[in-house]
Amino acid sequence: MISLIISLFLDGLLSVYEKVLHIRPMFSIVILSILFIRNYNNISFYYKICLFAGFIYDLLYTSTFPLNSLVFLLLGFIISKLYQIFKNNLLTGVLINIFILLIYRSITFIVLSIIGYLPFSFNLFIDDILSIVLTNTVFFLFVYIIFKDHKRKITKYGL
Amino acid sequence: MKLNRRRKKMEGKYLVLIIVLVVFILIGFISLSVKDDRGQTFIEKGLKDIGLNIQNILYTPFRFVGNKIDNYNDMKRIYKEYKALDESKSKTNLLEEENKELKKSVEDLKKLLDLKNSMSDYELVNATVINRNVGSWYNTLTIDKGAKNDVKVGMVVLTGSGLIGKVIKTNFYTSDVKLITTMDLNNKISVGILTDNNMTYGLLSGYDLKRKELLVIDIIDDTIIKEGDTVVTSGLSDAYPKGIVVGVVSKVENDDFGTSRRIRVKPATDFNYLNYVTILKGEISYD
Repeated sequence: MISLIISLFLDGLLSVYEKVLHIRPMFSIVILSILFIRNYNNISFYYKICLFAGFIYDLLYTSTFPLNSLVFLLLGFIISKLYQIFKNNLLTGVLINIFILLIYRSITFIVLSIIGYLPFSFNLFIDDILSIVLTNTVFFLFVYIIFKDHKRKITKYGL
Repeated sequence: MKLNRRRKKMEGKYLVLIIVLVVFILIGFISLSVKDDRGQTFIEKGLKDIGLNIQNILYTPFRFVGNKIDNYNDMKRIYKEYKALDESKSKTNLLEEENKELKKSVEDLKKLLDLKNSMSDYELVNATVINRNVGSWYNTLTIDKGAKNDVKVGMVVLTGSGLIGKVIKTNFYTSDVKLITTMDLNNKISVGILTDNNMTYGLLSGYDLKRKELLVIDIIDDTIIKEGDTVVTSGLSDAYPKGIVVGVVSKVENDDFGTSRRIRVKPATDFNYLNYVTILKGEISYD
């Protein structure tokens, strides 16, 4: 939970510098897959965390309630299903992370386009996508290394 | 068996119908939620203030280091400028006199035209950017001044270089600012292009993310517009006072249909470095 709060604040703090540093932090989304691994035995609690993260994201950063609350919940659901299908290791973790980032970006783009907040432009959609993937993959690897107990817990999960 | 299958099929159809309905309702709700003029609830304002102020406290050491670097760069720049100024010292007295004359002329002209919406009629309030609302699509930022500092929705926000946007939501101690680089289709600003002979008008509508240029459409006449002409707010819209610099013309081209002219404008403000901004406090009046 602390890691989620730190990620949320890092998202906010780095947002001021993201144009200068050419990074696109979406650490709160990255941390969702890490949190699943740590809370796999209490799935309802995990979904509550997803909802909470989305709500904070909506409230503090995007003012688009309930878009992120629902999308984060959906991402949590997708993560849980993916971890049931794929074997857990660093590579799978990275791929799942990239996949949920793309899902998040696609859903928010479609919704924001439908409501007229954004023009429906493919260039806009793919803008910065490489930066998003790179920034957040580096963060995922960093967190993966920090939480040393992941591997043990993943193995316990039996995937 | 057949009846069971049919029943399942019907249930499936209802389920799809319900999901589609729920999605539509949610999109409608989100659409209402993102509207700029939506009033925020007391709880929403309070929670947002608490969260953003904690973030602001955490941001302080980063800002401190950033300011030190900026100060060092500024000192280097100022020293160079000082050297240049020192050489042109003799001209200063002459310029001061000229300045006095010009000020008097401006005052006289203002009285003559009975202008009330010039920049000097506004109280300037400085604010710090505490959040650059996550994601490049939103194009909003949050500043550390709110309703308790008499900041109101609709107030214009700028930097020393030019216009950046306007306040769209106020909390108790923070406010959200919508930038002019927004791609929101409903966001249009009336601007004037200062050409050699006169001012022609257009609508600032959209932003080219790739080329980092603002787009001005609906130019009303055939006035010759050149690269380097200054674009300012026209004062015709009910949101921005007259004369705030928006940027300079970087290209004049035909629109996608080739029916009218479109202007690309290089913004006066560097939107990558927005740490401190100024709010224009005061009501915009029209004559």
